[in-house]
Amino acid sequence: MTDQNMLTGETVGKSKWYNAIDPVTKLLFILDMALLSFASTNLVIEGGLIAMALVLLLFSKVSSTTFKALGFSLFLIFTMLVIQGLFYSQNQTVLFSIIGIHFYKEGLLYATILGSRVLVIILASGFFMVTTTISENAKYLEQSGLSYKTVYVLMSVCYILPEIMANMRKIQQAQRVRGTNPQKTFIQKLRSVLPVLIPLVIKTLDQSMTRSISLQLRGFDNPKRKALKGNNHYRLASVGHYGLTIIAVILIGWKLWTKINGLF
Amino acid sequence: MDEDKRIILKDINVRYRGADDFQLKHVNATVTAGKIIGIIGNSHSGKSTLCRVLGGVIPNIISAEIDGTCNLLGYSPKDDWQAFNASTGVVLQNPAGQLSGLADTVADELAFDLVNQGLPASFINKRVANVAAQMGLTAQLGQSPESLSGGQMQRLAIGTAIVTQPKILIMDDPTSEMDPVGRKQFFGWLDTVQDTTVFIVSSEIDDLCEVADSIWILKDGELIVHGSPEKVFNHLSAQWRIPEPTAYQLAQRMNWRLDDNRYPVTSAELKEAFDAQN
Repeated sequence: MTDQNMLTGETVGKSKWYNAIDPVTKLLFILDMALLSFASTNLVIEGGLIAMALVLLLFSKVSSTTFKALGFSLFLIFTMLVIQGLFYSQNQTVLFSIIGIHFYKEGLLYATILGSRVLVIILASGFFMVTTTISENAKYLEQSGLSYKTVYVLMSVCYILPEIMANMRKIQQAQRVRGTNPQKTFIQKLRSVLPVLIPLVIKTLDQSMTRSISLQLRGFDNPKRKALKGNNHYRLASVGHYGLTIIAVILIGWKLWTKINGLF
Repeated sequence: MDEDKRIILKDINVRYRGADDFQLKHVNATVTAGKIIGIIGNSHSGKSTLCRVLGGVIPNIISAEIDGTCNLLGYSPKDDWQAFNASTGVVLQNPAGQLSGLADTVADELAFDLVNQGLPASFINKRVANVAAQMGLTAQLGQSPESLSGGQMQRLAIGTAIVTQPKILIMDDPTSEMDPVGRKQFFGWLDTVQDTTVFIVSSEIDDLCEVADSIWILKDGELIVHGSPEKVFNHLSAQWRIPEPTAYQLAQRMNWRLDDNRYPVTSAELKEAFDAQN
C-alpha cells in the first residue's frame, strides 16, 4: 500500500463500474426515476422503468437486504392489489372472481400503477444502497463543502437503523439460545419484537451516546479539520448532476402543467 | 515542582445526575508526568468515572455534579477544554463505541483524529503507518474496522487514542477482549511508552505490576491506597478483596522475601528473592 492511497478509504472492489458514479448522481437518479414513474400512468413505461432499475441492481451488487426489501414491498403490493381490486371507488368492470369475490379491472390497474411506482423507488434506492457506503457519502458531501458536523448528523440517520437492526438480531439470538423466543411463525416473530423494544432503544441510545463522547474527545468538530482530497474516481459527475437535475425540473414542470390543465 | 509537570487531583467528588450516592469521593492524588498508573478496584468502585474525570468527559461531555480540582499538566478540563482535550488520549471501555462509524478502512479510522486537526495527508500517512505498526495492525490497514476481531478492535481503539501522541493516555480496561498473546504484546508495548503519563484501568494485576510505577486502588468511590506496586500489595487488606499478583502469592507461600523484607510483585523481583534465598 502506498502512502497516497492509504487514506482514501478505498476498499477492495472499488474498480467496479458503479463506483465511478458519485453519490449525488445516484441520488438524483432515484429522484428522476421516481418522478418519471409518477409522471406516467402507462404500464409499459412503468414496466420499462422497473426493468431498467432491476438491470442496474442485478449488474451491480445484489445483497440479501435487497431481496428482503423486495420481498416486503411485493407483499405490500399484493395487499394493495387485493384491497384496490375489491374496494377502489371507481371499480366497474369485473375482471375475475375467486370463490364469488369479484376483483375489478379499474382497482387492479390502479394498484398495479401504484405498486410499480413503489417497485421503481425500491429498486432505484436499492441500487444506491448496495453501491454506496455511508463513509463514501460522507466523504463526498464533505468534499462538496458541507461541514463535517452536518455531514455526520445526516449520515448518523443512515446508520442508526442498521445499528438498531443489528442490536435486535443480537437480542433475538440471545432469546433463541435461551429458548424463550422460538420465532417459528410470522406472528411469533412479530410478538418477539414488542418486549425488546425498550431495551433495544435504550441500548441504541447508549451506543449513540458513547459514540458522541468518543467523537467529541477525538475532536470531530475541530474548526481546523480539513477534508482529505482523495483520488477522485468519479466520472462525468458534473454532467450527471446537470443532466439529471434538468430532467427532474422538466418532469416536475410537466407534471405541474398537466395538473393545472387537468390533462391527467 | 511545576504544575505543568504534574497531574493533580484535589478532593474530587463526582455524582451523576439522579444518583443518590457519589461515584467518586474525596479523591486526592498527585502524579509526576511520564509515570504509568495502574487503577484497580472491584465493580462499581469508580474506575470508569475516574477515567471520565481524567479525560475531561465529566463535566465537559457528560453532565455530572463535580467538586474539587483536576489539573493535568497545567490544563484544567473546565477552563482549557480544547488544550486539555488535545493533550489527552482516551480509550473507552467499549472499543466499538470509540470508532467514528464513518471510516471504510482501519487506516481511515486511525487518521480520523489527525484529519480533525487539519494535518497534511503525507504527515497523516506516516503517523498512521507508525501507529498501525505499534498496534500490530499493519496487515489490517485496508480492512473495514467492522471486520476486526474484538482484540483487534481494541488495538484499533488504542491506536486512535495514541495517534495524536497525547501527553496523557487514559485507558479504561483496554485489554478486556484481547487474547493472551495480544495482551502480552500490549503490556510489552506499554512498557516501552515514554514521555507519556498513562492511566490504565485493568484487572490484569500481574501485567500491571510489571509496567506500572504506581497502583491506585479504588473502593466504593474512594482512592483507598496508592503507591508503588510493591508497597501497595505488601500492605493489602483482605477486606478490599483485591487479587494479589502471582509472584506475590508464590513468594508468600515459599516465604521468599526481598532484602527489605517485602514480598516481590514482579517476575524480576521474584527471581531476585529466589536467588537471595538460595
